[in-house]
Amino acid sequence: MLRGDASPSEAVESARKQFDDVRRPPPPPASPTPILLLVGALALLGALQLVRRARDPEARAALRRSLPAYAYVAHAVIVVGLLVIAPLLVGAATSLFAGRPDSGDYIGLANFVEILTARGGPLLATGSFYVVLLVTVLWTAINVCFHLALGVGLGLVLSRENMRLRGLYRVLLIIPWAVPSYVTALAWKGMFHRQFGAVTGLILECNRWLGTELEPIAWFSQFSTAFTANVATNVWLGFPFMMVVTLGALTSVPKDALEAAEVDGASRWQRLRYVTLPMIRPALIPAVTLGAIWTFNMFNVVFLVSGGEPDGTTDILVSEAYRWAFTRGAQYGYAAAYAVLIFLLLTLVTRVTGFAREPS
Amino acid sequence: MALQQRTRLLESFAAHAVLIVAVAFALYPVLWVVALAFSGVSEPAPRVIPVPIEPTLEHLREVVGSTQVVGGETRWLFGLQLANSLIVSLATALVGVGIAIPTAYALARFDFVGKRGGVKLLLATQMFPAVASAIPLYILLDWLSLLNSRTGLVLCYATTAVPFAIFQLRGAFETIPEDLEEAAMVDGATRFQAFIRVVLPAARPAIAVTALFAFMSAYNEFILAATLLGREEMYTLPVVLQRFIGEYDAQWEAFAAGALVVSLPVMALFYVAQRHLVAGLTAGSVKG
Repeated sequence: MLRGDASPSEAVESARKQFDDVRRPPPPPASPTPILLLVGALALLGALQLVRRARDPEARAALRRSLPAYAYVAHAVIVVGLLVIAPLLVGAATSLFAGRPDSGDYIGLANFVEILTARGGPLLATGSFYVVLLVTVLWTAINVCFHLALGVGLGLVLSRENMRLRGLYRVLLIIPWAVPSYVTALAWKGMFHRQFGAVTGLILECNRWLGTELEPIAWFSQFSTAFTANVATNVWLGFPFMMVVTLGALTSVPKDALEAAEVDGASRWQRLRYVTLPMIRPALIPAVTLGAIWTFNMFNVVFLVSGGEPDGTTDILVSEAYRWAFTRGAQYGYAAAYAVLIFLLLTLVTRVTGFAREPS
Repeated sequence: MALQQRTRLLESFAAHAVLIVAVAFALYPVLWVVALAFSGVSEPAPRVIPVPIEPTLEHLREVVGSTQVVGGETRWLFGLQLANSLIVSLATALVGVGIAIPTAYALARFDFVGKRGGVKLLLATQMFPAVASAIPLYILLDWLSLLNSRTGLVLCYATTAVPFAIFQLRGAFETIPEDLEEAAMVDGATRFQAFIRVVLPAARPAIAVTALFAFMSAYNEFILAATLLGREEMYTLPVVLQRFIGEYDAQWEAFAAGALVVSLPVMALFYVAQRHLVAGLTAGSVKG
């Protein structure tokens, strides 16, 4: 990787920081009494609740009625419990331990405290939880805006009346969705290559034909350009989903509503603004939430395109968590604490927006 | 009248212009990879127009024909890796759909104690990013000595495939009218027989599509495979492709050739199945 313009002292500083990250001493062990008391109390409460339910004749009747259904779900409960729930619980529990090759002590909430206080450093230093969170939120917001604008825009153009070649355009425009995302990410990394990438080619052509004097850019040596490269890749990969959702939603907009608006003298813009968009909104909201969660967790693009370069500044929360576990000396406990924080953040956000709630 | 016709023509022209630009944007990276895969020049140069320079099939031959020598015996490495990918993806699809079918049916048809809580729990697990669950999975597989094995990878993939399939199939079963089973039960079939003989055949297309997506997401998965597999002959294809682009020695042409061979079949499958995906996705499952 070409590292353009870093001065020697900066390079030494960043190398020292990386070394410190790997050689971070494990936090001191903590007394397990509070957590044991808490777990014990919860178990007791749960057991009490169960006993009360079991003595309630109505609940027993409901349970008896449920028995045939249990025959269909029993195996799944066991498998999902072992395969899905158990690893997650183990993961969540790991966040309370040092979980490193040199120490497996129980350390209470020390991992969380360290993450949320940026390991004693300034809260807004590179690589602190808050900066990574900020980058992640920025990353998600920018990407979703582009996905939405491109997806809805193209959807609207495609669904014009008497649009010719609609089928062909549709097939070609969802190609980015069909390409496996790791292939997309690596291909775009190649296109941003300083020496032979297509983007450098475009810059050179531009110089030749327009007489400009643009320098080929080392895309991954600066935060702004590396972040842009990631965003370009992810926009390419993500807009077809929004387009397909928009196309689907548009078929359910009744023609007479639009015609009525036209008869009443509504301009085209007004029809779009006051008839079409409100009608496709219900279909777009879950798609946007889903797209936001995907982008928030879009590991492949960040890991494979910029790889966090320069110096981990373009890392998002999931890739940061991955690094702590697998490239910075196996600090599983610390990485697990990151994972738990991501989980809590996403749960909170989806709670607030009301997505993923079971209709009752 | 003539004016109106002219605006209409202009508008249609503008619409096609927008779409052509968008198609160019969508196709360019793909064409760039294709051009790279068939280019014979040894020194890559920046190029704008994606056509192969000195066209050759050398890279394709090199990637597909890769071999490994173990104990004096030459083995077809790419074949082994292709087999890994296919076995793992097929097993994931079978496990996912097999476990999900009866569960999804029960969720669609029965009301039982613990149903709402269970579904909520299942939805909540989907908030845990796949990469983050790699950490506990790595630890668990290490305990079970299943690192570096296809079984371990299938177990990991099942953690997303099973919930995904449950949500997809629940939606499918809900669209099948309940009268079908009731008619069968009036004719003397038990509920289970009605489920097997009547509901399952009616849901066959949905089951096929769900299995296809479980297969494709396993086939396209990169980071868990890269983390859990350490030996070359155990790699799945995404890991093989990523390895071409090492830190210091990047073989871009080999990557491009491999990407074509590996992704064209799944892209074709995607086109077969994509129309059915969107509804199920927005209905509940979260991970991609």
